[in-house]
Parts: sequence; structure tokens; C-alpha cells
Amino acid sequence: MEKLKVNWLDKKLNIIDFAFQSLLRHKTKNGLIFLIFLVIISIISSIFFITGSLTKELMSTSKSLPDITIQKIQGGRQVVVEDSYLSEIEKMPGVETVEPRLWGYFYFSELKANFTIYGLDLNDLEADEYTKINHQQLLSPNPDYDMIVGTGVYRLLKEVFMEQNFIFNQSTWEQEISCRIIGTFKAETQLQTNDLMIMQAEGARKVLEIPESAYTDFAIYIPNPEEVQNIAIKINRLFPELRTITKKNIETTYMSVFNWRSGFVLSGLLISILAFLVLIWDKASGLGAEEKKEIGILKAIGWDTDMVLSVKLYEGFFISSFACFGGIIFAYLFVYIFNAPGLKNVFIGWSSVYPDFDLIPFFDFNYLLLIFIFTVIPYCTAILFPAWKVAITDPDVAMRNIN
Amino acid sequence: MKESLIVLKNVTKIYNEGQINEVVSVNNISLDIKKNEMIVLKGPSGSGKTTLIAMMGCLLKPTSGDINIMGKSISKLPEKFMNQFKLQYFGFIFQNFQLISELSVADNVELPLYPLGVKPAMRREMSLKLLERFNLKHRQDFKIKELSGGEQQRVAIIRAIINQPEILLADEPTAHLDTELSQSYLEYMKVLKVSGLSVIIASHDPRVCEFSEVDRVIEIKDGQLKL
Amino acid sequence: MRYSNTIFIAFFITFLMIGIVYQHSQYRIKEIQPEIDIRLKITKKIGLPDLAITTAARYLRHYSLTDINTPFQDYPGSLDHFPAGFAYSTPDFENLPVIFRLQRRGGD
Repeated sequence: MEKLKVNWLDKKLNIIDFAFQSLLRHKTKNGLIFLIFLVIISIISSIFFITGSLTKELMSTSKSLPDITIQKIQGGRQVVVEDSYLSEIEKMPGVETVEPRLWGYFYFSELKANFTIYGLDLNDLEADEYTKINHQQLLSPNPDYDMIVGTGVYRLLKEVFMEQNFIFNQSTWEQEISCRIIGTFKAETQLQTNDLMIMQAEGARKVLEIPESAYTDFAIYIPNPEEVQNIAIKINRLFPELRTITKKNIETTYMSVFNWRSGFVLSGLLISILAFLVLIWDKASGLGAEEKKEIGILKAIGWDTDMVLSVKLYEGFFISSFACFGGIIFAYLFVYIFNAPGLKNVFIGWSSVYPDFDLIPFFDFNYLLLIFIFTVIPYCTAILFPAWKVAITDPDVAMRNIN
Repeated sequence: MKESLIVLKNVTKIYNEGQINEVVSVNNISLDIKKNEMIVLKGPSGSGKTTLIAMMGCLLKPTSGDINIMGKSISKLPEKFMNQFKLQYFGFIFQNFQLISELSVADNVELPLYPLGVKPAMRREMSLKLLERFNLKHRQDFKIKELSGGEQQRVAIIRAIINQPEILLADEPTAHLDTELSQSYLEYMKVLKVSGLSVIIASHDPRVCEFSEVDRVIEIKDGQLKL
Repeated sequence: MRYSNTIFIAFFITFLMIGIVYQHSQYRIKEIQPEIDIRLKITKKIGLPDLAITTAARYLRHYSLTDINTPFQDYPGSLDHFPAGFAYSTPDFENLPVIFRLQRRGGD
């Protein structure tokens, strides 16, 4: 009788066949495990994608920021900084320009909206940076009170018929301040300008109630990046009441704002880890009687330990790797195609003024690898371990003890 | 004279050697089984016949002694080679058949062919051929739990011979069968012997020992041959 | 079709989708570049950091410039007066004025 010749490749393919068939035999159970896995990985990946994108957004414009921002701190709080510091700081070698800035917040209680007011010469803005609004009035009122606003502000004010003229008023003021809105920032700059109201410095000073010889802060520009730290230290030494925030400090904050300490990230991780551990525990706590019997029979009829374990490994591998990749793909679609409905609102909170923003895709293959390693490997190990204990039994023992 | 098939020389099997619960299951047994013989290993429970048949079937390694199958010494072979050898030359029928109840008849029967790297189409062809021969083709997609005792018996036999073995080993095949099934089982064994297989059955069932086709009955007691 | 073939096809499709997703991300990044250039221009003029995603509170809006009291309000645990505070972790307060260095007992 001609003996059957063993084909190595076909043997491997047979193992894969059997493993997949095994999974199909318990469609419901395996389907559920796959689904849970998929959901867990989708959640983690979505969180990762959103926070990664937001960090990328932050970092994309950081190089245009001032090299040092100076604030005055009194009693732990920021207060206005006097212009007397200007000349001292300007004199320092290495400092190119010191720009005193007037900016702050105006809370419009009627709409429960918080606007950022910024004083800037409107002529400094270029035509492509904002969209002009045509007004019916031919005579312009005081140009000190002309404003260019962000699209979010404009949208909000339109609802209350204030999109042409906005009236600033505080209970302590004798007279209200009326500002004409002459333009809106382009939609592309929403993430930076959405809540902004930019007006001439004089108007801003009045609205923000900042006294004549004071400013909100100073923006310092230093051409040589190597000197930034030294100049910051010098300023600190000369004026200990001043706080220096370097561009590097800001970038450090950017990188850490969505790290694991953020409640959102932490809770997402905790839930996922918990669910994952429950899944693993269920697998690692041992095989059912049917599974043990099956392994015993396979060993008894001639399957070696390798083969039996390979089947189990493939079973685990197929479920976990498809769930892993599927979860990542699903998360990508959820975040970047459908714009993360619901999830984005976590970052917006109760704001009345919030941008419609499309996130910059953040797709990192290192992350893919990391997720893969931390999900597939533990899961496969959890599957293999109980199977291994049964699979290493001598076939004759397996044969006898199958009952 | 018939060719030697399985030669055992001073084979001993000790479980838990050196420990308090040491058990000498098989003690210095020498045997010579010829080709195309039907042998019955007779003995009560615990006599060592299951251990002996397991060693002959490459399921277990002896503690000492030599086992020679078709001229090849298998006592010192590593597990992988033992398995390959077993798959190519042996078929085993277990007590209670030991079929995987979740799988269909055809799937159960094809299991020994997976490690041999037989492709799916070829597997199916081989299994259907045998299923037809044993009148089970119409049940090929039924799950084992849906079959009668007699049908399960036939499935177990087919699984044992699908890999075209030279030697068929059976451990207490009639232990849980009624007279009718026991008789039909022995008839199948006869058919297989006639087709060229060597059959070794471990049993203490007198019906098996007294079966007409049996060439020799070897008695084992307390791990030793009873002469 | 053989089960193993199904698996291989499934893996192939999965990797293809990942490739597509990656290409999409690269394409979008290129597409967004002109927007980023305009944003760089505006940021240079205004110089204010942080994104206008949540404007509910000033310590959330201008995150990197906030002083230490504002997010902590009355006491350190009191961070989440606004739900968006849940999403952001506390800023880096390394750059606040240092008045004097403490000397610890038993060395530094």
C-alpha cells in the first residue's frame, strides 16, 4: 500500500483550516468575543486619534508663537503688567522686539458666551485672512470700535440680530460701547479665531478696562533660539514678580495636555483595560470539558502537541488580530470621516462658541504596532496556556482519561 | 512463515519511577506479532494490556526494552517522528469510540488526514469512499450526537483506517456494546483482516477471545505474560 | 473554497483597508496644508496660543497661559467646574515665579 506523503505546506494549511472551522463551530460565543474586542480597541483608538489630532493641531502653529510671553503675577493670579518694564526688557541683548498686548475676555451673559477680545491694528490684517462684511452705512462711526470677529462669534450674534453691531455693556459702566463688525475670519482659521473679537487697541483697552499705562502681557521675539532660556532666566532674576512662558513651555504643555492624566483618556483606558482583563481571565481560567476532551482525542489519534497548540494559537490570533485591525479602521472612520459625533463634544463641553472643525489625521504605524502587541499577544497567551496544560499530556493518558 | 510485524524485546513500563506511587504496569514482556495476524491481548482490568497496546501503537514510550515495528526501532524516536510513524502505519479504535460530538461524520473521519497534509478535496474523496463502503454516505453531514450506537461504531472504525494503516489496534472495543453490536464489530474486523490489515485487540470479553478469526490469544496478568 | 483561503483573503482585505486608510490620512494632511499656512500667518500676528475648542472657561481656552489659581479655583480638587475640564489634564506650571529654594532636612 502506498503511504501518504506528508506535505509540509499542506499540513500548515490544514491546521489553519481546522482552526477557522473550530471558530465557526461556536459562532455565537466567538462572535461575541470578537465584538467586545473590536469595541474595546475602537474606543482606545478613537481616543488616541482624537487626542493625537488635537495635539497635532496645537503643534502645527506653535512655531509662530512668541518666544517668551511675560505675565505679571500677584497673589498667585495674573494682573496687568505696567509699561515701565518695557524699556528694561527691550534693552536686553538678544531681544529683537517686545510687543505689549491688550487682550482678555468678555462674558456675554445673555448668550452665556465667553469671547476673547484682542487689541490689534486692523490694517495689519491682510485681505486673505478675513472676509469683509458690507455695511449699509456710508459714514463709519469711530474706527476704534470696528471689529473683526471669528465665525463662531458671528454665528452666535446673528441669532440675536447683533451681527452688524455689537454692544458691550457692563453694569459698572456709565455708557455702553457700540462696535461695528466689519469682517469675519476665514473658516480655515476657526480653531484659532473662532471666539475672537479683534478691534483697535484703544477699543480693546476700554472694553477690557485696562488702565492707560498697562497691558495684559508682553510678547517677546528673540531671533536666536539658543538665547531664549537665558533671557527668560535673566528676566526672572531681574523681575521676580514676572512670569516668563517660553515657546518651549507652551509646546511642553501641548504635548502633555491629552496624556493619560486627562480624565477623558484615563477613564477610556480604565474601562478598556477592565473589559480586556475580564476577557483574558475568562480565557485563562481554563478550558471547558468539551474542549479538553477534543484536545485529548486529537492527541490520541495522532496530532502532535505542536499541531494542537497551533490550532489554539490560530484561533486566538484570528479573533484578536481581526478585532485589532478592524477596531483601528473603524476608529479612523469614526473620527476622521464621521468627525467623531459625541466624542468631540467631550472636548467642547458647555461652550456656546465652538468651532466646526475637521481633525488633521493622525495615523502612526508605531501606534498600530503597540496596540497589536498589547492586545494580540496577551490574548493568544491567555488562550495557549490552559490549552498547553492539556496538550502536553501523553496520548495514552489522554486516551484513557477522555471520559 | 509470516513476516514479523511487531517485535517486543524485554519491554517494561514503570509509571512514576522512583516515587512513592511507583507502578510497574508492564514487566519484561517479549512478543513477536506477525503480519496479517489477528491477536487478542486478554487480561483483567489493570493487567497492563492497555499500556502494552499503547506502546505498540506508538502512543507511549517504554521505560526499558526495545520495540521494533516493521524492522524499525521506535523506542527511542522523538515525539514528532513517532507521531508521523503512527499516523502512517497505525489506526486506533478507542473505548467509547472517542468521536468529537460537535463535528460531522465526515469531519471526524478526516481528522487523521490533517497532520498528513492531505488537501481538502482529497480528504473528502477518501472519506466519502469509505463512508460509502460502510453504508454511511447519507449521514456524512450529521453530527455525531445524532447517530445511533452502531453508526458511531462504524465512524470510529472508518476514522481508524482512513490513513491506510498496516496495523489496527483496538482497546476494549466491545466493552460498552450489546451482543448485536459486538458481533457486527467483529465482522468488520474480519473484513479488515481479509483486506490485509493486522489487527490487535485488547479485551477480556470472551466473545472476542473466542472469535473464529483470532489467530492467537495472549494472556497478560500483572504486567507479565501468562504462559 | 478552502477555509485557509478565506482567512488569507480576509487578511489581504484588512491590510488593503489599512493601506487605504493610511493613504487617506496622507492625502488629507496634504489637503490641509494651505489652511495651516493661513493659520500660521494669523498666529504670528496675534500670538495667542491654544485652540478655541472650548471657550467655557478661560483656563480651558488659553490653557498654556493660565495662572495657577484659576483652574484650581478654591482648592486643587476643584478642577472640573466645566465638563470640558475632564478632557484636559493640568497644565505645566513649571514657569511660575520661584521665590526661594527650600532646603530639606536630611540633605537635598
